[in-house]
Amino acid sequence: MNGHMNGHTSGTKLANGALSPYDDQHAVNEIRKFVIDICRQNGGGHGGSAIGMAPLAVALWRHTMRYNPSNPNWFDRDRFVLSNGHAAMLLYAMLHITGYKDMTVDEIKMYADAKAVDKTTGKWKSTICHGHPEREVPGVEVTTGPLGQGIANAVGLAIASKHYAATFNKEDHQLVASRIYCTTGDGCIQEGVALEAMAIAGRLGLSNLTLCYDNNDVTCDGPLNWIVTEDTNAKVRAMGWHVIDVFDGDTSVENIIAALEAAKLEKDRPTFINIRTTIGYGTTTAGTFKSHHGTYSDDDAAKHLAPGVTSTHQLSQNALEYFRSTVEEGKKWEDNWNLKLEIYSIAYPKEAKLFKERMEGKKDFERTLTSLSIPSELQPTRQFNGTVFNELISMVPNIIAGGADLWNSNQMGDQSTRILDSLHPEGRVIRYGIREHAMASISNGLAAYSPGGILPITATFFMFYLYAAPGVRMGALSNLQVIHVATHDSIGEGQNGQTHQPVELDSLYRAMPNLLYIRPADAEEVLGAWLTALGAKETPSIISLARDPAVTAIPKTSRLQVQRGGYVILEKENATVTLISCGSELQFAYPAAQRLDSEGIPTRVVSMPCMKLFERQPQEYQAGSAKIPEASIPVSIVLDSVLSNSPHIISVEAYVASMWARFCTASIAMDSFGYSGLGRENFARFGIDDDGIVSKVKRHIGETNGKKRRHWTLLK
Amino acid sequence: MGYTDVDKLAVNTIRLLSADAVFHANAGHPGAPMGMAPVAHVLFNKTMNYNPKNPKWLNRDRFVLSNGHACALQYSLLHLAGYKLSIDDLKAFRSLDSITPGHPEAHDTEGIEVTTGPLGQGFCNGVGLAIAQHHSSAKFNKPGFDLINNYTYVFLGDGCMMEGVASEAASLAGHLQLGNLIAIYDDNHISIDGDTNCAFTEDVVLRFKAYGWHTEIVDDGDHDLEGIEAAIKKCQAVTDKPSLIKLRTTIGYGSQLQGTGGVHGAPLKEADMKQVKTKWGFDPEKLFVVPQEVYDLYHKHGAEGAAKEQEWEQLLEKYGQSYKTEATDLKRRLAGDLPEGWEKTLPVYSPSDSAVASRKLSEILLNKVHEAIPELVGGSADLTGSNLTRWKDAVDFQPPSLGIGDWSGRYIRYGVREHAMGAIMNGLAAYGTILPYAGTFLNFVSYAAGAVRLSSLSQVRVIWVATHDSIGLGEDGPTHQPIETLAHFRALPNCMVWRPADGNETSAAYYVALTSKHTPSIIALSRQNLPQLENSTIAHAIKGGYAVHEAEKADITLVSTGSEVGICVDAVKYLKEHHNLTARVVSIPCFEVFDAQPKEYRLSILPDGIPSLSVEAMSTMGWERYTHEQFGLNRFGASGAYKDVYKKFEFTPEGISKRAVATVDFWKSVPNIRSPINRAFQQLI
Repeated sequence: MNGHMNGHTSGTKLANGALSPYDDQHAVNEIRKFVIDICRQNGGGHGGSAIGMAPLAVALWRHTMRYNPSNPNWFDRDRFVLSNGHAAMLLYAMLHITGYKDMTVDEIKMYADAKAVDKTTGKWKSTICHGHPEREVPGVEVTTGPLGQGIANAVGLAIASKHYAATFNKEDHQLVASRIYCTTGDGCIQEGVALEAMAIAGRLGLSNLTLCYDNNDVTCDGPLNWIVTEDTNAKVRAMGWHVIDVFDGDTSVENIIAALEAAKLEKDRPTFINIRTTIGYGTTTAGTFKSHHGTYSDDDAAKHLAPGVTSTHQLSQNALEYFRSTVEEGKKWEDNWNLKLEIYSIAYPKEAKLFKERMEGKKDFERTLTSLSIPSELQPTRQFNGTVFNELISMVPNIIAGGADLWNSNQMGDQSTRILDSLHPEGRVIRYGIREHAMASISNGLAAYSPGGILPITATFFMFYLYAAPGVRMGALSNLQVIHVATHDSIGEGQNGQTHQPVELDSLYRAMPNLLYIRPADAEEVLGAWLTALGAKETPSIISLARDPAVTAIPKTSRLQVQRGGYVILEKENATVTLISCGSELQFAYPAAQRLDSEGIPTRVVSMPCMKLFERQPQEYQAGSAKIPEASIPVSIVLDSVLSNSPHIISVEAYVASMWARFCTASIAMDSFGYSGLGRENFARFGIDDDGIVSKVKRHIGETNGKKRRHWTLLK
Repeated sequence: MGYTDVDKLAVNTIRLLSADAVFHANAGHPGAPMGMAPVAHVLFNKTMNYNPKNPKWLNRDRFVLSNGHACALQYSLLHLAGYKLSIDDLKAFRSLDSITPGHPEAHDTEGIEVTTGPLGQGFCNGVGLAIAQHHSSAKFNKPGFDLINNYTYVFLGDGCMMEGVASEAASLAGHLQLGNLIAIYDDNHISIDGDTNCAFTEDVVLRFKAYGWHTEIVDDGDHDLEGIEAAIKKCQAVTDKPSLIKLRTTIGYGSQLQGTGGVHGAPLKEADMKQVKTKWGFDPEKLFVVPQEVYDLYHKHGAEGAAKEQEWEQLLEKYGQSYKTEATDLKRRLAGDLPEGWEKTLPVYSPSDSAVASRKLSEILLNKVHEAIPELVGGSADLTGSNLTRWKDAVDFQPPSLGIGDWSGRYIRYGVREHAMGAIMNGLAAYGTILPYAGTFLNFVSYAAGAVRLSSLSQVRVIWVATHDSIGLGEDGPTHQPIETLAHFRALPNCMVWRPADGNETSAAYYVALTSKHTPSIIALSRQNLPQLENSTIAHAIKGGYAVHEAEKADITLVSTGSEVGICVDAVKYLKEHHNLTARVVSIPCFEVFDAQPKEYRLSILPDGIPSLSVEAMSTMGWERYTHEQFGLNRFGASGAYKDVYKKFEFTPEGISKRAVATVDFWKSVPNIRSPINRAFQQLI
């Protein structure tokens, strides 16, 4: 195998033109030394697998991947995902050695260290070298750490690349050719989410995906055979993958390169390279769990030093030069590609325009959403949501949607002509199968491919977003716009019973930072939910929808007001009670208010589809959010007018009321699981229908004797 | 073997009972029951040992319907077999307050072993039941007393096969060589969205072989009762591997729509119902018909089962004479009671004791308590050294052939498989002889949330040792630092979330968790050292909340949990010295338990007239119920040494004092009520 993969220029050449193996081996040693120094600077970190994977890293960054260190966001770069994110220091070392300018030695010296204070300002200064890689850092494609997620992200990236290629490439213009490389340890491929994602990758024939398995037979606790004795290669083959073995991964960069090259030749299947390595190779703890995390001894550090050298964090000039050629290479790659794009633009101006819009992350949805009209009959919000989705997927090419085998129940419409599969990578709808967790994590990968280029949408029952929670969390943590359509969102789900009825799940998602949980009450608010979710470019959203239609229409709901999170839909002078509700319960709160009113208890009603947005109002308004026409109304008046005019502020929602005390004096809510039975009957059984609300509110007012309450109470 | 026409009639009866139940309820899943009726008949009428009159007989074979949506099948079988489930109950299928809900629920219905429905879970429960059987037989069986030797049978469909949680458990089951586990895969090529070719093209048998399973294939699952029974017998003969039978069936067998997605999740049309009944010689006008000869066939098997139990009880009696201690232990375990006096082994601390991380306190406790409670079986998802979940001389639960443990071992190496770990624990707890606990980082309990929810719903005693419970875990950074996790699990009904602040609170947390027979617990523990607090006692802490620092005429109550309580106590001094404010401190290690105290008690801890401030280094959500103001972290954390991260976000005596002063100032000028919008200070977002 010679070293001229992809036209990388070599460092030192032998007479016959082949690369000197000395350079590769030297680079490997230098990287290992560097990693040991990083582990020693803070007395810890996960150095063992970083040391073990050093030959793979040299094979990837020096010989295989196409990337441009000067522009980490070059569109057609190959993407690298470190699914075993705890080995972050390897990634930092490689970004440094290949010349990503943000990744300086000073940054690396602050690896996993929050105490850095900027001397000039005296303020906290955070390093970009987090304990686990985060995608805000140039050169880091996705945030990884929780095991298994990265593999699913890589599957998403690979789908994205295939999709772009199938959509835009022409026979003589291969505009999109990026490949996805992902590393995994023993941990990730035990996690269910990774196995789900790998099954999907096999079925979709993602030949542009190479998964490199750092097979070191050791996990955090000890030898792998304590917990795994399976035939990994057979398992992966059964899922439709091409498998290549590398038996001397500690020492042979060449053989790893050969495997990576062979993977490129595979046309129909993703490739799994099983690389045997030794954790902490060459150190005193090599091959044991003691090398998994922790620091290294003086001996280990000294072993790699040239005679007389005592300084740390220094890479040899040789190694740096060997790698820094990638800077020039990378520029050339991108320049050539830009030229390609120019020629493409001349040959296919229409496609080029669309392609460039995708690169810029443009999408035009507002016209669609502001012009859509509301159906005359009362529909379940899931049904009207399907109408909206159908409009959007026709109008917005960025959308790639998919469901976890509940597509029909989610009422996302017949998309059979848009299926994305191995024969139709240009398709727009993915059948994820019953793999909720992978669905969410793959969607993060789709969104991360190029900001805004792809807008992933997922769908399943709200209850099963519990399975997907770690994936949704990673989307929130890494600022990725993904829209999750969650139907059957309460005890109104009905007969499937308590295993399928969320009562606590809103708490998870309402407490999750940077996630919008939106619960529209009717068709009008469904439009508002989409306006909000589509407008939140660095935030995932869950649109939470009901199974059954409302029994009464709710007047004065507004798609524009939804973006404020909460607003008044029934005003009343000198009100005694304000009812706050959302989703399917608003249909009960509204008539309940009217009945209370007719019985002499003046009652107002607030619709609050998204608490987080409501709480954000001040900042949003100060920032001059132009989308909301009433933005000129002073914030304090808006907020006061929404909430604080009445002595009793009572929430109505069929969930455990863990957070309503923030706004309310009392709550009508669930404090148990639901029941299997018709949705309507369930609401009645738990006293959350209009009869229940009226009687609970009257009793509460009677008990408090008209006085204002200070402590929040759950009304039973 | 010898199957007759009565067997054929029984199979069709099962198909029709299930289809009738769905038709009558006008909702449900008739397809899988009609397809799986033959194998179900073989199991319930030939293979399985059970006594319908005593569903709790220890050595019964366990049956788990992992594709829980097919529960009409299970209800039909329970009825035929003679369990407490009548035709009227079948008629009430999926209606409010029936014992035949839309998915099988163990706490509602006799004869249901575990609650299933969310796909993949039941399969893992089956792995747990099989582990429990292996462990219990190693613990209790003696020469001549093969007391515990039951099989565990699991039905699963394509859905369960696709779920990651099931793949995790399958891999572990293969590793553990669980010979008494037999899973039957309903290979009908249909899921809700249509043909499984759409989303499921892998080679299931090859994958399970790779996991170390024995596999059998039955080609005609619609008719071949002999073939089914033979396959089961072959699986029973393989004792060092779990077995998978791939059973090719036709979904909705008999319906005009058989073999299509149309029969998966919707009732058969009336004409179709009539068509099937006519075809099989049933009265097309009648619903819920069971021919007497079918009842007879089943009642005969039930009687045989009752006789087997009788025999077994006699064996147990004799066993008791030879092995009195073991027999007493077994009976006590089955009653769910802990051994007398076990609580004396709980560690007790005084304020002069040194500061210790609560994960370490948990380890110290487990080192003592495990001797007193032999049914405790621990484990971790590959974080043993960090969770500190393994007592010193623990033996691993491993197949003896691997030479790294044995079946009687009480420590399970779950691997990096959090979700399966949770679901397997539900199976362990359901078996009846084991009290399971297991560890991982608190943030990764979220991976297992699907299983935790089912622990709560099905009312089983399972304990999560959830370490590294906040930004205090430090360097691993925001991907590992929980923010929203506690808010979520605190909202989960019938789940206790504990966050002890020191040694005595840790003992209290375990005390309540171990004695709550029908409630799972999550014990959130710190990575960093925590001081032993004044006034913290086990007696105080088991009330869920108490004043850890009391003061007369206090200006403010600081309310906190876990690692932040000690910092609040330090803030008391700071407030006095710098602001001349008097503060009291309340620790609420468990909301759920505190909520259950009488109102009077709760008011004595959080009295009127004093503004209060909660301090917890994670989402403030939920705290509004207890305090006027909340200091928390409504954003993701940061990577760095824990002290620095705490400093960055101001969870320090100074930072707490700053907000305490703001709270006191704010509430001074506000009348007796607060506006829910006006806040003393901005949350970190």
